[in-house]
Amino acid sequence: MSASSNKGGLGVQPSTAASPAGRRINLRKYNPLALSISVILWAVLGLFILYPLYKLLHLALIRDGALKFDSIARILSRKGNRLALYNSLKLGVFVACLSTFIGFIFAFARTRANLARGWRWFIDAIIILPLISPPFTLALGMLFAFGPTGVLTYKLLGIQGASIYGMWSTISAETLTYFPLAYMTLVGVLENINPSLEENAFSMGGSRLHVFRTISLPLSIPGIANSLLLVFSASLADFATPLVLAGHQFPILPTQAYLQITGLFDLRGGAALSFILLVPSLLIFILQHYWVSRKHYVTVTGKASSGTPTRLVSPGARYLLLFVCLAMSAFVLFLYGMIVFGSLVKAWGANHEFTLVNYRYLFTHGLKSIKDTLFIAFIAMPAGGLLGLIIGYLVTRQEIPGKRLMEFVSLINYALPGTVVGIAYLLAFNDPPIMLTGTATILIAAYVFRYSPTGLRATIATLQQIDKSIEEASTSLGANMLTTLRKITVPLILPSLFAGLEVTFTRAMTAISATIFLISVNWTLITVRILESATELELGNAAAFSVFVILTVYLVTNALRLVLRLLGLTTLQEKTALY
Amino acid sequence: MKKQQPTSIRLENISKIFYDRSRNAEVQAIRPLTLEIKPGQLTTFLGPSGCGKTTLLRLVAGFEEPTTGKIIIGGLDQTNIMANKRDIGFVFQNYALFPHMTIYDNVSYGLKLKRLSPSKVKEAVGDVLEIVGLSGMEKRFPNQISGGEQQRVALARVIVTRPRVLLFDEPLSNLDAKRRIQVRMEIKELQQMLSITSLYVTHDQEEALAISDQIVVMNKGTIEQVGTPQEIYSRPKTVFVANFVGKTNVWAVRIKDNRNNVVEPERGGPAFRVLESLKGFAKGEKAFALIRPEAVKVAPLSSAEQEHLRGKVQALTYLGEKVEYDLEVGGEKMKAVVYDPQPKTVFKPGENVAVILPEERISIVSH
Repeated sequence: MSASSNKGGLGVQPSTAASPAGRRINLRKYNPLALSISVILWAVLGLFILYPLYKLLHLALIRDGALKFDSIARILSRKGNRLALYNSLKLGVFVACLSTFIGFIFAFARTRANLARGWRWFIDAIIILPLISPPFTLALGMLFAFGPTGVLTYKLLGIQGASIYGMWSTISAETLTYFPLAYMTLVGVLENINPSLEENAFSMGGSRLHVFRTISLPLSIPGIANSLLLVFSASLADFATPLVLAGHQFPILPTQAYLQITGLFDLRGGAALSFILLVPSLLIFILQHYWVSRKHYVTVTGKASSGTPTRLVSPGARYLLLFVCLAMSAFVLFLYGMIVFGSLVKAWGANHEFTLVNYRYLFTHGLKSIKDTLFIAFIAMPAGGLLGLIIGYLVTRQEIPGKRLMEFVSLINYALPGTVVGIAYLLAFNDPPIMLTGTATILIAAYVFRYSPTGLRATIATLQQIDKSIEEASTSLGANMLTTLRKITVPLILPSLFAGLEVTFTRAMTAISATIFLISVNWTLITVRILESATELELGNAAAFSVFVILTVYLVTNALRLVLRLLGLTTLQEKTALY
Repeated sequence: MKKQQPTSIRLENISKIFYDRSRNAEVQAIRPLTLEIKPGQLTTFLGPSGCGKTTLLRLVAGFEEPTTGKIIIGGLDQTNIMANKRDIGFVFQNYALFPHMTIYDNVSYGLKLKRLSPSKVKEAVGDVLEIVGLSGMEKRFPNQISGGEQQRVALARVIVTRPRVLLFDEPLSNLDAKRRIQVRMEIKELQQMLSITSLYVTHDQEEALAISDQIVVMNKGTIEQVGTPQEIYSRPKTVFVANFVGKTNVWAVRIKDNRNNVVEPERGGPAFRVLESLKGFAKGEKAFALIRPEAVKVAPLSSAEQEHLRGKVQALTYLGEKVEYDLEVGGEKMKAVVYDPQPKTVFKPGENVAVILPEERISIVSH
């Protein structure tokens, strides 16, 4: 027994017999089942995450077996692309700041202004709408309201041929789409600021504004930073809204990459543009994942005494907050109303006679895309949910080599812009050895590996909260392993599985940025049909498709929640924060 | 609830080696030890963190397997019996209540596994909730009740199954000081009422003294001393025990006469007699002399009626009910505590005093 490295006092002594070879991985020490599953998972993650990424980087950066940046240089030498890069960053900054500002107003009103229960419910209901809609629904709504034949511009103000396309409408639509994301990040932070801190500052004679400026605002800075980063990367990656609203004067990176590939068939150029888009996204993800979110969680743990009414908000400010929130909510609701209205009239802007012709189109010409989308979504849902659950369980409850790396790799496709993932898949699976282009598999895989991380994160968070002693308590009360699994472990992690199912299904129904590169004659998607209809100004059809998607997502997610409730389990408390 | 025939526990040559993957080394949590637990008693494992006390408890529960040795419960070898077949109640430090179940479902969990009829389950749960004072809380969830109440649910959940043995893993560490004293009395009363053999892990010496029939003091994976609270406090067998349970003065001595029980301080000074027999020591052997601060008597030099040492007051802390002195005696530091001090008899810093060490209060322990 070597006593040399005895830490003393702890009764621990490393034995010299344990490992003569030092830190060599001894596979016999691991659970064989967990080890085999992790080998399979690595194969799958390698194929659908690392391999496409490798192909993309290879095409963008390697020429004749050497690292060369000439593709990047060639792409950036074009003025249009440089403008796109600049526009993308500008758009991201504007949308991040505006969304965070509006999100903060909503979150502040929700947590500090003592709103009546009905108002809070109303705000929450509005907030959830953009999250379950296709990403360009609000852009579509803007077209209905402010477009050439828009209700406000043409009907009300009588402006002929109003031009809605460009930077400001893109910024507006994206802000409306992403401020709920900022709101949800901030509401958690504001809720967890102990009200006694603000009351204390008050009692020391600070004015309301002073307390807000010196206490509430500084304490929410981690949340604000997190929100800025999240919205910036969401806006940077957004493909659909600019495609509908940006027009020719305002090119941005994702649309530029799309045109490079679908218009010019320049794969190398597309890859190079993707690389330019990938770098900031990945940096922000790493920053957000390892820095802000860690800080954020520290403040969130331990339920602070929330719900105590504070006098931080004066009656006047309270009405102002309520007014701003209601005005914003009403505007969002108005844009959605436009879409429903638009789906039910004969010709938008010309003939507002009630008709179901758009829905007839939906179930005749659009039937294939509906069938395809539902098939893909219903396959991706359990696959994505289970993948998240299994990886989450493995990295938190099992000892396997390289589990931190596995967690990180699982999150990559989620962190990258959809355009980048789509182009990478296109490059990886277009040629042998693995030809998947034109199949449903490639679409399902894109959704599963891009959206399972939500369930994965939920599973990890839940499992970290379930102490091992809870399972041991069950055992020592006389339950065998299966009973413990059935009555304790599974019920406790089912809510996170359902969260994973919900998000994967929702995204498989609504997302477009990755899969637009992967559709084919054999398999097409509703979202692509909406986009086609919108760009060809067949707005009635686009509206009917959108209403169908929103209703389907609403029904299925509520059915999932109902199942969970019938099982006697509660849904994850912060379910909205999962998106 | 009726009493049942209490169960004995015997640990034979138990040891436990863990494999620490982060350091790729083996860690000896418990060195081979043998221990007899008397039936119906409450025995405490007391020691600093990392001494192996919780590991020992988990071995008895069956959550861990011993590397060597046998665990005998009620006369039967249980070493290879699974935790769910041992009929043992375990109260966890963090209570480990099932968060998705109501209080009723938590408490009835073990009974339902025993396939009792629903009416009997209901009756037993009602009884036990009344005993722990939680009647009417059946429908609440664990996150809707206070920490003290959660602790009682955890207790109710295990005693309702009438286990042969109760195991407590620092059950009071998440409660505030006041609740802690109250709940520990409740645990003691309940344990005596049911007379269930109990093992109790704590690092709080006061808690151990207050609650135990027998204390096992542990350090670095070994047992330092086993005894009643009085034995542990008044006759500590090692310096570690004396320091861990209460405060003590320690000074190095050498055995001068092992027949007449005389020792002399290592650093010089007059030799003195102790009451304890020193037959176990060799002449000239090094040892430690221990005396509790409250056993040290401090008197004015003028009234030195008996054999005494000369000391000097270096500092004092007046606490109302008592005065704590830091003394210097023959080049050694010594602490003394005088209870119920009167204004006239409190010495001042720098004052010379007579220090009397009653021979019956001195323990001699080996080096």
